[in-house]
This record gives sequence, structure tokens and C-alpha cells, in this order.
Amino acid sequence: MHRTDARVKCVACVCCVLLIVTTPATAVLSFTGYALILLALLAVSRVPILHIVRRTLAVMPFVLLIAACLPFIKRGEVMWSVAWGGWTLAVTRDGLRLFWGVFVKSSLSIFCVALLTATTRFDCLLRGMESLRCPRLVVMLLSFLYRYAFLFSDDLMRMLRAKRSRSFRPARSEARILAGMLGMLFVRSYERAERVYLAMCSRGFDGTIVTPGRPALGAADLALSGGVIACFAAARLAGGIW
Amino acid sequence: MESPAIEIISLSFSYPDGVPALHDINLNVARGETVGIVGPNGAGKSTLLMHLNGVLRGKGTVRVMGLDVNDENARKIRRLVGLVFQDPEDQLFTPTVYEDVAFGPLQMRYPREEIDRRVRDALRTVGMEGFERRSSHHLSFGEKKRVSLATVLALDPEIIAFDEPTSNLDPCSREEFISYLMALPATKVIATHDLELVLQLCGHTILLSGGTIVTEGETRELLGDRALMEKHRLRVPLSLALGPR
Repeated sequence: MHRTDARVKCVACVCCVLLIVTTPATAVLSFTGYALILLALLAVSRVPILHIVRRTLAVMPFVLLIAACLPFIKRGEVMWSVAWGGWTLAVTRDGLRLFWGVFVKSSLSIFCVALLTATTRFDCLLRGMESLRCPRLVVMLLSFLYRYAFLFSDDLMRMLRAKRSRSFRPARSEARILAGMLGMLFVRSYERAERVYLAMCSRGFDGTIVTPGRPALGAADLALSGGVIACFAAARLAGGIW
Repeated sequence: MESPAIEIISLSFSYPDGVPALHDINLNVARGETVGIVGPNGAGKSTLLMHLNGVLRGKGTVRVMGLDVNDENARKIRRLVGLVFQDPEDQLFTPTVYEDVAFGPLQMRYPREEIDRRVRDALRTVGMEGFERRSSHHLSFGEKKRVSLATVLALDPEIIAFDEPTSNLDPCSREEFISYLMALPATKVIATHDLELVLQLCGHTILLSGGTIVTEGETRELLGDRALMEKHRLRVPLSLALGPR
């Protein structure tokens, strides 16, 4: 699975996510099917489950933050309510169903994407996106982000270490220093961007993004992604609702 | 008569904020020669190097292998002059070693097979074959320096300009890197504070200070002039000061 072409993995991932998000929240059988297929893929890929779970959990708080208010704002049959002053807080059945739908769909979708990123090198993913007609400028920006994110975090770590080695101030006065450091980090990254641009120009960059062509897709790659999409579609059908 | 590799006539340059960096630079470098540029911090060494392939443009004339450095010749000039930056993190800007080395040939629109061959040859020259799929971030500093050199070699340039090629290298990596430099047949211009390196590699040396060429001449003679060196915040290389033992 790690060797499968990034292009077909990207397409399969998008198709699977589309099938997941368009499944009605009541189709529990479909969701169970999706989960089983993803677990089977996880087993085939030999990626440790904890790695995927950790990545999924890292994104879930953002989803929960948005989904948490749904049971209270969706109108419908009230299951539980509390009155406080002139305000009434009510949890509705439809609201809970909506919350469940958002929760299960986002969990499975994130799991899907986490599996894709865990089995695909980032540079292959970028080339795959590029072959799938993702704008080259976006791909190039993502490539720079990937290359320099670590460098800037290293820079920040060094600055924090330097600060800690000669700072004995209480924590509450740290905010101003931290703001200054972030400003300095911005200036450094800006200057680096200029130097990188000069390095690009030195090797013939004239503003046109040129990328290498991609080899043709293999039959095995196509079969694997087609098989995964077919399994997801079957699970969707098993839920009984289109 | 064959034109010199580099010909600079009355070059002056100021940064956009008005800070003057170079003043009336006149310079000739013969083909195949290895020239050292020495000088204190802020002398304008890096700025001068960036004029060689036209990424910076000042007033005056810069000619490379007989070609004027201008917009019209920009593509040819970038292929003819390779620039190895001081910080390899600036030069290695893509996610993998292969993509970094292939960047120049790709910009020249070489066919795919040609690009693969150039990447393979360049990496072999600097002893980095097998590193193609590695991320530049995970290389040691010495390896990054070698890949930086490979990114330039992939274009098979006639002239290579090095900005502080041995800075931050441990003694072994420094020696290795110098051996790669010595093996290169191209015309080399080396801007550095590593005067031992200049002594080892360069037959001719230019002393740049305050944006002007103070003097130039035979390396041993120039670097051995204690008064001159100290006046420009430099020191006579230890191997020269102690003499042969």
C-alpha cells in the first residue's frame, strides 16, 4: 500500500470521504462497514493503529467544538431541558442525531486522510496532487511549507532556549517577550524567503513553475484503488439508503 | 583571443535602502582559474558573487564567458554560472534531495532522461548517490553542503562561485569538501574567511574591503602581507606565518 501510486490513493481517498459524508446519519450498518474496511486497510498497510488514532484525535477537538452546540440549536422533540432565569437550554432528538452524524462522518473521514498521509511520503503526495491538476502554485507553497516548517520550529526552539538561559522573569511578563520573538521569527523567515528566491533564480527560475512528468499508472494501483472504492460503495449500499 | 571567464568593468551597487555595497569594481578572471575573494565582514563579497549570474544587477558591465549579464542572456548565464550559497538551507528548498538537484535542469527544460542522468552524475561527484529520496532536512550539515554543490553541478556550469564554502563544517567534512572543490574542472571564485582554504586552492586572490577592491595578486604574497591583512581585519594564515617546518 505504501508503494501504490499517490495519484490513485488521492482519488480513492476523496471518493471514500465523499461516500462517507453523503451517507445518512441513520445508516449505522454503512458506518460499521466503512470502519471495518479502514481497519482492514490499516492492517494491510502495517501502520501502527496508535499512530492513526493519535492523528485523528489531534483534529477531533476542532470538530467537536463545532458539533457540540448542534444538540442545543436544532429544533425538534425535546429530550432534556434545563431552565435558568429566563433562558431554557434544551437538547433535542434531531440535534443529537445531527451531532452523531457529524461526529461519525468526521471521525471516519479524518481516519481516511490520516491513513493516506501515513502511507504516502509527503513529496509523493504533492506530486500526486499536482498530477491531479491541483494548481502548481498551491503545490509549490505546500512544498515550501513542508520544507521550512521544521526549520522555523527549530529556530523558535533555539530562540526559546536562548531566552530561558538568560531570563528569570515571572511567567506573566513573558507574553511581551514571546511576541517580540515571534516578530523576529517573521523577519528571519522573510529574509530567508528572499535568499531562497535568489537561490531559485540562480538555478534558472524565471517565475514559471516547471515540474517533471509522471509515469503512467500501473494496473495494480488502479485495481487497488478501484477495489477500495467498490468496497466503500458496497458498504454504502448495505446501509440501504442512497 | 579567448574572452576571460569573468570580466567586470566599473561595477557599483547599492541596496534598495540606499546602503552602498560595491564601488567601482574592475575584475578579470581567466578561464579555468581559481580565484579567492577575501575581506572583512560586510566587505561586499557575497554581493559581488550575486552579480556574477545576474541575480543582483548594479551599474557597470559584467560579462561571463563573453556574454553580457542582462535579461536577454539570463537563461544562458544561469546555466554558465553556478552559485553555491553560504547556508545550504537557502539552496535546498524542495522536500527531497532529488528534486533539489533536478530543479536547475528542470528549469532548463531538459528531457526527463537527461535530468535523471544529470542528477545521478552530480550526486555521484559529491559522493551522495543513494540519497535521492532523502529529505534535505534530515541530512547532516556536511551532507547538505555537498548536495548544495550537486544542485549547481547538475547544470554543468563553466564557472562556480562559492560563498563561504567551508563555514560551519567540522575538520573532516571541510577536508572532504575541499577535495571535491579541487576535483572540479570549472573556473572557481571562492569568497571566504577561510584563508587556509584560499592558500590551498587559489592561485590569485582579491582583497575586498568596504565595497572596493583594495588590491589583488598572487595568493601567498597577498596573504603573507601582515600589515595589509591586519589593516583589513584579516590575519596571515597560520601555515604561512609559521612557514614550512
